Amino acid sequence: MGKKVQCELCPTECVLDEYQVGGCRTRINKEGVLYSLVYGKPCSVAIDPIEKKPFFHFLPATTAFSIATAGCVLGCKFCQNWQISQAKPEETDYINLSPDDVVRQAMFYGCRSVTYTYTEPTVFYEYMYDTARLAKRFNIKNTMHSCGYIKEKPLRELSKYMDAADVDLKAFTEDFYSRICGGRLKPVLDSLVVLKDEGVWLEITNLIIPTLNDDMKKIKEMCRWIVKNLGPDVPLHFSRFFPYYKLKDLPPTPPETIRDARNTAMDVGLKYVYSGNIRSEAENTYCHKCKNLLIERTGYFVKQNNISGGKCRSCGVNIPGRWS
Amino acid sequence: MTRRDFLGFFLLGGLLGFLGRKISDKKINVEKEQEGKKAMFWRKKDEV
Repeated sequence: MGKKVQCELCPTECVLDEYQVGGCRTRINKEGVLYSLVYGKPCSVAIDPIEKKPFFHFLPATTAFSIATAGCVLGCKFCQNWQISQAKPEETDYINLSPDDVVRQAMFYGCRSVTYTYTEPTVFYEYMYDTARLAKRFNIKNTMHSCGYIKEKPLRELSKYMDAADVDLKAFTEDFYSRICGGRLKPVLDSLVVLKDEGVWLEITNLIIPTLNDDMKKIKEMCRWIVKNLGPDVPLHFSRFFPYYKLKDLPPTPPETIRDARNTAMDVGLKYVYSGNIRSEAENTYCHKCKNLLIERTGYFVKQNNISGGKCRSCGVNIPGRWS
Repeated sequence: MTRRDFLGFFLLGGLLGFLGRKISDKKINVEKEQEGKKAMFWRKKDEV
């Protein structure tokens, strides 16, 4: 028996020699035992509106105590947080904050939830898991914004404590995931099905990047897959791309592309489709039955909410989501 | 003891206390970092 170990957290399944660090930069093999390098060491801590994650059908107009550590399981060329996601823990300005501290501070600041976000929370799995367990005991909800690149077993274990997940479905081709993100599409689709199966409230974000994943045929195919495998109630956020990191040579997504994608998604049966990173009426929630305005938003802020007891105030139909 | 002496001792005491705490915190953090947190999902890989 040697001292090599294999990480079984994400589909990359790194095999590590002694004192070698995983591709995520956050796990090390020390004398034949795998350790996390980022437990209790967030480099980003903030209180955000839950709408920023984005969650539009989960405790609207509440605040989320948001944390992230360094590292990521992917290497997306368009990453908006590459300064921390593509950094080693020691390269970031982290603080020491135990799960106990996180929950205590979330309560102190009146946050209804703790959100694991900014970078990929899978890389700080143990920290997230312990914090989520503790938060649940104090009636604080747990949410995450993830790329969904995680293996089934850890995801099912985490789902016991996770109330909601916003998953980036970055494109609907293996080629995009391979060339642009350094990963695979299939494990992400599997994670979406697992989250749905586990009863975790699910929202999906798709960043549309000009020339790379803006083909309407593929967007239609993706939406059909969502309707078929996750149901028409799953909110879908089409987000506008701005040039970042290694894709600075591409232009921002034209607003018409976002509008066309939204129309396409609604045509195939998705009930709640939103636009992100762009000001428009598509930030609001409208009742899928009577079409009345349910939640009016400006950016991350809720101006009015006409959902009462999870139902439309106008026609009384149940609105999918977790409202209280 | 003059008022000036008292103020001097007071400030010196505060400074020493502050430095002592910093050193002690650093020691605790270093110990924690060396210890690390065991990962939850992994396995030993047999060498061929």
